[in-house]
Amino acid sequence: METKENQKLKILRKYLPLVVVIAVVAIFFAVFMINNNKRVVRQNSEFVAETTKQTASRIGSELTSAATSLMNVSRLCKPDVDNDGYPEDLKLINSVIFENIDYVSIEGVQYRYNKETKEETSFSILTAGENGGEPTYFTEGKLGKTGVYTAISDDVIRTSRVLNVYTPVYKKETGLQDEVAGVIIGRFPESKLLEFITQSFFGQPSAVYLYSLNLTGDNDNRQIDDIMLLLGSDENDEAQTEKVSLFENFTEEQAAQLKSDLQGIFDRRNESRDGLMYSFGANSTAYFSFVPNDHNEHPWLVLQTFPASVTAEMTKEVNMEGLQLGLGLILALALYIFFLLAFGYLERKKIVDENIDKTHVVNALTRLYDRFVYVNLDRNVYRYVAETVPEDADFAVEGEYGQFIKSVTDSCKDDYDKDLLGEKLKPEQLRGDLKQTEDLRYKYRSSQRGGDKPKWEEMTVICLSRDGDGNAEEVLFARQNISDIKEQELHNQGVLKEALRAAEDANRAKSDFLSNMSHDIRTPMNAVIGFSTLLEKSYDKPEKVLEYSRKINSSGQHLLGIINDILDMSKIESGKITLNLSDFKLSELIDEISSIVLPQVKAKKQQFRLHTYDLHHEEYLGDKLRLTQILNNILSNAVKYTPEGGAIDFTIRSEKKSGNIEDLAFVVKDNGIGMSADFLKVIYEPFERASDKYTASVQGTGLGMAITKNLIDLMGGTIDVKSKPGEGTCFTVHIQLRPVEHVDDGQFWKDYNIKRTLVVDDEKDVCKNVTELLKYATLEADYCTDGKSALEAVKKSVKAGTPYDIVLIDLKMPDMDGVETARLLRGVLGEKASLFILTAYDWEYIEEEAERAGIDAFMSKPFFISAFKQTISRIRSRVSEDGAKGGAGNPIYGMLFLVAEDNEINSEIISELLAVSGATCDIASDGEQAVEMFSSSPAGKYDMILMDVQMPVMDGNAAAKAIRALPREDAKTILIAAMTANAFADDKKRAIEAGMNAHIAKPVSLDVLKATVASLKENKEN
Amino acid sequence: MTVRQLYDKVGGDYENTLARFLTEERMVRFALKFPADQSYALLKNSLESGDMKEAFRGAHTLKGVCQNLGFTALYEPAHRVTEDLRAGNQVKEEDLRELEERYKELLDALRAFGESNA
Repeated sequence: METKENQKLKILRKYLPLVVVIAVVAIFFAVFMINNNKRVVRQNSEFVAETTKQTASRIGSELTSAATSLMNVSRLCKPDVDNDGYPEDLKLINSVIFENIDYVSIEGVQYRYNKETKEETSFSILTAGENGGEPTYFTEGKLGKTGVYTAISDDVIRTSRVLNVYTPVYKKETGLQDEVAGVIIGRFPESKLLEFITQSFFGQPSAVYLYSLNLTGDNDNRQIDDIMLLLGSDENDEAQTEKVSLFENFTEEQAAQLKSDLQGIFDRRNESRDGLMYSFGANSTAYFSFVPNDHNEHPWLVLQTFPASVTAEMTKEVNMEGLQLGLGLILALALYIFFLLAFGYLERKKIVDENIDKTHVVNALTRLYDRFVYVNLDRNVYRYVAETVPEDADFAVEGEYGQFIKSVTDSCKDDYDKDLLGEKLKPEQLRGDLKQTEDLRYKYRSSQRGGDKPKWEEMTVICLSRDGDGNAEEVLFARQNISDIKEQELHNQGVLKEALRAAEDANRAKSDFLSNMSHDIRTPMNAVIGFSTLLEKSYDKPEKVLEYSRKINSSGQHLLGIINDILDMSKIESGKITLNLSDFKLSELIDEISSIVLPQVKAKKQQFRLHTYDLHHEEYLGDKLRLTQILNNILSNAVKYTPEGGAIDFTIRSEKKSGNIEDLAFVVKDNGIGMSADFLKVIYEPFERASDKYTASVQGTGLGMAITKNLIDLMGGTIDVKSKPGEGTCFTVHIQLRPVEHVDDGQFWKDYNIKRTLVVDDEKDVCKNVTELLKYATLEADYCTDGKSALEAVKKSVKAGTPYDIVLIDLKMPDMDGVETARLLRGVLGEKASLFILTAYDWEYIEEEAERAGIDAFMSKPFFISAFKQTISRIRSRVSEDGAKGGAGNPIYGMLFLVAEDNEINSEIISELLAVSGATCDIASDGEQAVEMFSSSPAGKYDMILMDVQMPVMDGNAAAKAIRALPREDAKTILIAAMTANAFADDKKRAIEAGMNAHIAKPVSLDVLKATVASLKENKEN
Repeated sequence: MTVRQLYDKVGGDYENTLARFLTEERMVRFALKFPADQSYALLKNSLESGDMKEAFRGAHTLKGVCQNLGFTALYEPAHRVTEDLRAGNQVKEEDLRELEERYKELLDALRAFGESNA
C-alpha cells in the first residue's frame, strides 16, 4: 500500500512541474489575450476617436465652407424686395456646392427655382402655432444668423432628408449688414450628406451617426434636452423619416449617464476637442464628437463606431500570433525539456550503468573479501561498508577505531598474530607503514565461531586518501578468507615432504639393498673361502675333502643365484632383456619345475600337489626358460615362506581364447605365513623384502618378485596375488600362448602295434582329459572310474577279441588301488598288454611291488602324449631288443649324448637308434654349435659326445679341441667319439690328437657304439 | 614290393642295414627320406660352379648317407668322386655319369616303392 502511495507521489512529483508550467502558460496566455483584446480595443478606440474627430471636423468644415459659400452668394444676391419672386441675381449664380438655393422672402414665402426648367415655385413657410409660426432657420436668418438645419425633402419623387444651410440676404440699397431682405437656403443633397458620414475601417463599413442636440436654457447655461438622429450611415429609408433617440434602447440610468457625459463634453466643447468614448459590449467601441460649427443652432454630434468584426478579427489575429508565439514558446520549452530529460536520462543511464558495474565489482569483491571496513584515522572511527557486517552480530557496525582493532586481535587464534596485529593496526603505525606503500597485508589464523577448524584470513589495508603531508587519512580494511589457498599451500608442503620422504626411502632401500647384498654375497663367499682353506688343510682326508667341496659347491651355486638375479634385474631395468621364443613341451616345463621344487618341498616335509585342468595341447610357442624362471620363483617363495609340513598347490589350467591362442593360468597356493596388505603393495618393487622374525632367516635378494613381474609383463601376461598374514598366499599368473599343433599321423602307434587304450582313475575329469588326449592322438580310448569296472571292461574286450593294448591306471583310488587293479588286469590281459601307473606321487617306495604286480611303467601326472610315447618306446625297446635294458649288456642305456652331425637323415637315424637302446641325444648341426651347446650345459649333463668329423663351419676335430679347451671341469673328462666313414689310420690319429677318446666308423651301428662305450667306460674306471 | 625287393633293385645292402635298423619299418621310413636330401644337388651345383670345396662336402655327405642307408650301388661312385675331390683330383666323367644314373634309378625306385605302399 505504501509503495502504491509512494508511486502515486512519485508520478505526481514527476508531472506536477509540467502541470504548473502548463497552467502558468495558460494563465499568461489568457492574460495576454485579455490584454491583447484590451489593447486592440484601446487602439481601435483611439483610432475611432481620432477618425470621429476628423469626421466631425470634416463635417464641420464642410458646413463652414457651405455657410461661407452661401454667405458669398448672399453678398452677391441683392433681391428686389419690391418684386416678389425668386431673385434674378440668384438665378445667375451657379453653386457647385448646393443642389439648389431657395429664397425665402421676408414675408415667409419660400421660392424655388429650377434651373433646368426655369420654373419658379413658391410656398409659404409660415404655419400657425409652431415656434411663433416661423421655422427656426427663418427666425435665425432674419436675425442675420447663418446656420444649418435638416429637413425632409419635399421632392415629389422621394422623400429624403436634406441638409440645408441658411443665411440672410440683404437689401440692395442698404448695403452690407443693413436690412435683411430675406433668407437664402442652400440645400445639400442627401448624397452629399452621406458622403460626410460614410466611413470605412479596413474595408469594413463603419457606422456613423449624426445627431442633433436639442438644447434648453439660455445661452450661458444650455442643457441637452434631447438627442436626435439626423443621419445614419446604415439607416434605412424609413428610419430617416423619424428622429431616433439615442437613448431609446437604454435604461433610464444609462440614458441619464450618457446624457450627463455628453453634457460634460458639450460644456467643454469650445475648450477641448475631446469627445466621449463609448463601448458597446466587449469588442465594439464608439466615439462621440461634436461637430465644430458656429452657425448651427443645434449642435451636432457625430457617433462613429469601430466595426466589432474588425476588432474581433484583429484580436483574433493578434491572439493567433500570440497563440503561435505561445505555442512556439511551449514547443521550444518542450524541446528544451525533452533535451534536458534526454540528456538527463543518458546521464542517469550512464551513471546507472557505472553503478551496475561498480555493484558487480563490489559484489565480486565481497565474495572475495568477507568484510570491508572503512577507517578514518584522523577521526579515529571505523565503519563496515559495502553491505558487509561484522562477524560478531553484537559488534557495532561503526564506532571507535580502537574497538575495531580489539575485535580483530580478539579473533586471532595465535598469540603471535594477536600481538603483531595489535601493534601493526595502531593508527600511528599504519600511517608510518602506509607512507611507503599503498597497501599492507597481514595473514593470520582466526578462531572460527562455533567451528572447530580455524580459518586463515588475510587483512588487506588500502590507503584511500592522504593529508597534505602524505600521511594516510582514510583507509579501507578488506578481510579475505584464504583458508583454501593456505590449505593448498600446506598440502603442497606436505606433498613435497612426502616426495622427499619417498626419495629418501628409495635411497634408503637401495642403501639397504647394497648392505644386504654385501651381506648376502659375503656370506656364501666367506663359506667358499673358509671351506677352501679347510680343504687345503684336509687334502689327505677324502671324506673331509668331499664334504668341503660339496659345501663350496653349494655356496658357489647360491652365490651364482644371487649374481644371476642381480644381473637379470639390471637387464630388466635397462630394458635389455628379450624373449627367446621356441616350441616347448608343457610336460618338460612341468618336469623341470618339479625337479627343482620337489627336493625343496621334500626337505621341508611339505605337501606338493599338482593339478591340471583342460589341457588340450602339450606344445606351445613361448620362452620356456623364462616361464620356468617365473614359476620357479613363485614356487620357491611358496616353499620358503611356508613352514614345515605346509601344503603347496600348483594348478595349471588352460582356456581357449580367440583364434588359436590359449590362456594358461598357473596358480600357486600355499598355506604359509602370508603377507601383510602393506607388503602386497610393494611386493613387485625391487629390493623389497618382507621383514619380520620369520623372513629374517630366509635368504634372498628381494629381486625375485620384481624379476617375475617384469618377465610376466614382458610376456604380456598378468600376475595377481591374494594373501593374508598367517593364512597363506595365492599367486595367479595368466600367460597367453599359442599352442603348436602336431598332427599325429599315427605312425608311432603302428610301429608299436598299439590301438586300444583304457584309462582308470577315480577322478572323472582326469579320465575325460586323458581319453580326450589319447583320442586326439588317433588312439581308441575308454575310461573307468574304479578298479572293478575296469576289470569288467577288460574282460569284455578280451572276450570280443579286441583286448586293450595299454591300460593307464591311477595309483591312488578308493576301494581298489592302482597296484591291486593292475594285478587283476594282468591276470586277464596276459603279457601282451602294457599296464602303466599314472600318479602324481612318488612311486619309488612301491616300485618293487608294482613290478611284481605286472606294471610295466610309471608315468607322472599330468598326462602328456609325448611322455606317453616316450614311456612306450622305452619299455617296448626294452622288451623287443635283446639286452636293450640297462646293465652290462647295454652300456648306453640312459645316457645322454650330444651328437654333432650336419646331415639331417644321419642325425635322425642316430637319434632313433640311440632311443631304441634307451639313450637320448641332443643334435648339433655343426662343430661350433656342439661347442656352444656343451659349454652352456650344466656340468655332467652330457654323458658323451658323438662327433662327425666332416662338418661345415667347424669340423669335428676343431670342435673337439675347442671343447677340451673350455675352462670347466668336465671339458677334459667328457667322452668324445669321432664318427667317420674312413677308417684310415691318419683319420683316427687326427681325432685322437684333437682330444677325442675314440673313433667309430660310419655307418654307426648300435653294437659298435655299445662296444666303444663299454670299452671307454672300462678305461675310465681303470 | 617288399623292402628286400627294393634293396635288391637299387643294389642296396639289405642284411646289414636291417641289422643296424632292427626293423624294416625303420629302414623304409629313413629310406624314403633320402629323396629330400640335398647332398646330391650340392655336389652337382658346386661342380658346375667350380666350388670344389663345397662339391667335396656334398659328395662326402652323399656318400655318408648312402652308407648309412645301405645304398651300396650309389655309395660306390659317390665314394670315388669324394676321394677324387679330397685329393684335389679331376673328377672322372664316368664316375659322375654312373653317379647320376644310379641316383636317378634309386629315386625312381623309391618313388615307385612309396606309391605302391601308400
